Amino acid sequence: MRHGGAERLPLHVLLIFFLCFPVLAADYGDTYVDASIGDATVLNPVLSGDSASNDIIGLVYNGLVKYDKGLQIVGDLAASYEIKRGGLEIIFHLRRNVRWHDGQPFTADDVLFTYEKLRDPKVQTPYADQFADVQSVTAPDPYTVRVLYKQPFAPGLISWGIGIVARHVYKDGDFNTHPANRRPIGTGPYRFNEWKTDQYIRLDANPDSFEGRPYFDRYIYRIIPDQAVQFMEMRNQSIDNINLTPDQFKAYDAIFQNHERYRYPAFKYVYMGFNLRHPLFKDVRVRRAMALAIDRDSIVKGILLGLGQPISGPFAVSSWAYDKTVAPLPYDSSAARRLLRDAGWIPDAQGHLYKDGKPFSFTLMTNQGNKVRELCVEIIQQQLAALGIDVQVRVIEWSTFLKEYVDKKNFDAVVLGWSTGRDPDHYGIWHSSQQGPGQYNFCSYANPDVDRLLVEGRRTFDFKKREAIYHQIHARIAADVPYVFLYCPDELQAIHKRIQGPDVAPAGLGWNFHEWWVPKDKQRYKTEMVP
Amino acid sequence: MISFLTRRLLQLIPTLFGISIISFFLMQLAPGGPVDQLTDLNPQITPAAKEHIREEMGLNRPIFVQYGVWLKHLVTLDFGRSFKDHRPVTEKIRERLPATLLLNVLSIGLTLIIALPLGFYSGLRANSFFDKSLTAFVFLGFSMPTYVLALALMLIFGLHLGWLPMSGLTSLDWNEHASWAARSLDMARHLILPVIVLSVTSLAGLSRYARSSMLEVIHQDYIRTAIAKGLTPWRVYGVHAVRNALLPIITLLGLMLPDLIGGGVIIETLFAYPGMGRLGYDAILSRDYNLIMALTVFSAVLTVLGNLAADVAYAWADPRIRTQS
Repeated sequence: MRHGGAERLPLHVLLIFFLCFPVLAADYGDTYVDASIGDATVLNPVLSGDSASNDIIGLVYNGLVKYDKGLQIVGDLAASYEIKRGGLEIIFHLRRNVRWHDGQPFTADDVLFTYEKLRDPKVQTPYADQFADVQSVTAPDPYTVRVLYKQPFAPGLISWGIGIVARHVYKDGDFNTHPANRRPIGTGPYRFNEWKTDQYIRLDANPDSFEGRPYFDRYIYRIIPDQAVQFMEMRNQSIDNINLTPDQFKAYDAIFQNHERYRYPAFKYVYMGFNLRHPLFKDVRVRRAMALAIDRDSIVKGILLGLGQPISGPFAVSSWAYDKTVAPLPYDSSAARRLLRDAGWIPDAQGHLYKDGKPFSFTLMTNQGNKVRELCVEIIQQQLAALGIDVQVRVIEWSTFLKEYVDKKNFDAVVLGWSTGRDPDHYGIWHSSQQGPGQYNFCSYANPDVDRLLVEGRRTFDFKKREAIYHQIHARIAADVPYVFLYCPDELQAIHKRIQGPDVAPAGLGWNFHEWWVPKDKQRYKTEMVP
Repeated sequence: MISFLTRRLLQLIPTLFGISIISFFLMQLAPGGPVDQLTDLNPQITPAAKEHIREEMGLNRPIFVQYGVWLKHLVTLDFGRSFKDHRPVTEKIRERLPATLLLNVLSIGLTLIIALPLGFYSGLRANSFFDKSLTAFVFLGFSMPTYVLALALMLIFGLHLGWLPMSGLTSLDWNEHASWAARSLDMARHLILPVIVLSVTSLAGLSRYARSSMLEVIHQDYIRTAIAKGLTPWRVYGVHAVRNALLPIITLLGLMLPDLIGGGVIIETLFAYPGMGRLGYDAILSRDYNLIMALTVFSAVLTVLGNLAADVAYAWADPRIRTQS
């Protein structure tokens, strides 16, 4: 009998499949309510640098290219692109029949205009340097853009992912203070509707979007500056999306009865950086010993409640540049002791390390206001104390920390984090030429091989070759231990359960946001779509 | 009276000038600048780009030159533009004023309505059980951290009972509300919790003033005379004593004028309320110099005007002072 039942099962399954698929067609309607700690500042892709503005800009504007779910570069406003002469020339073939939200056609002229503004010295853009190697940008016809580079610059390709702004919108008036910076007109899946400063930003579905009309009628970006209040608003179902702290993520399941929790590795990592000009840290054996003596697993378990992972090198774990074959240094205090002895550090009767009559003592700094980093510093202090190293801890206000200590190289060691872009070109962080005041190689790392590889990584477009270059960079920097690479935290998010479509990928969670939808019977907000 | 007013108003000019100089230079002492928010440790943005923006904003000039430029614009009432979003700072302040005034007028009003009668009554019944329990209550409110009270009320009335919205000033579908009445009701529901929290935490000060002022008055000779004349207790305390006990409160009210536009950062942050407190706090954090200066000048003007108004009102209310001047 059982056997017979099992035989009939495929039929049932087939039947269910046939019945379900037509029903599974996505429904339109409903509102997606997002929550943010801070408000946007300027809704102009050329000017904005903050994440809140970029959240909105990402929905209202399109770039020529974008990252797909696997972090490969694909066309966006450009239907396709060609890389010629080893990267000296990039040709973008634009989509036809794309319209701005005000109905005007989008053409190559708008791309030229955006580029002009990026290079205009009067425009207060933080992105000008990404286009420094561009020789010329021309439009042979209204749907083709030809970019010539002075030298190949691989990260340059994704820099064309910057939102393209419309010439006809910005042609009159000052670009920096233009009213359209608060009432943007883009090409994206959502149209701007209203911005109530520090309250909410409202967007409406763009029925003419070239990706197809998004399923949500409306998108609301609520500004709720306090995280505890956001958490209560989530429980109250008044917001559909929230970023969580590790302890919120680990709260009782009952709290998340209406929300689904998601976690994925963030595009950032936390490290302890040495001042390599400091006599204590000149010897790689000493740095390696300290890396061996810090138990990353206990940091991840203790501070992040396990919601992250130890790393071995200078990239976020979900980056293709991260070389998974390089294992994080193990926690091995006896190996650390041996290395320190080799380097001349001998413990006295109390176990404190001395060399030439001097104790092993230094100050470890981090910035105030980041609880996770403050705890991290304390754990490191304890773990190094077990080795006989005396660590003084200083926690300093952010601006003072940067201006007075980091920028002036006035530190022994720091705990900090990098939020990196998706492209692994971290030239500014690791190249030996970037050690000046205010530059990002404040640890004064210099390795001629890495310098060469960094430049090569910028000149190479072929993905496989480029990947190999960054894997080499990863291995070499890991061997030099200029930082103790600590961990890559997880991005923690909860999304309302009625919403269909969220999908975790290397690109994160929101990469397919325009495909998210809510079945008619579960929609919470009744809205009339204004045609 | 007119010459007195003119003299006082003229005195304001050097005071405000001094305030502006001190705040301008003090503000520059804090490390960091307006461009940092955008660019600090952001590997996608090069230090060269940051320097370029600083130059474009005129932030690389000597501080006294920057002050001179600022002052020159101020003469024409131009407070400049925000370094953060390039909007005129007066526009940013104007946008916040209605919501701020609404919250503060309501909460100061509620505080007055509750604190004055309670304070007067406990002055009359000094050291009674009522007096002592009131003292305990107002000090509890005074010493309770705002966020504890606010979060507790949100949890009870917002989340568990579901009677009131927790944060924001309006509902998401506010625009669809047809009538003016429906919109006002919606806004009123959003205001209940912040107004209560603000009032409870500020009851203590005012009610203690009212209490001690009443205590002083009821021991005066004219009160004894009034009782001796055989007036009813209502006439004695409710009219004669209260009127005199109100006099010092007038000064307090003048001093509260800047509170009307000043906001509580904590309360506005918790309730996601779009008020001046958050504007000022964000301005300081992001070193938005022009906005900080505009807010400073604005509240300085209100403070000195409040003092002046208190003096004038005092003279108007108290014949003894009027005849002296």
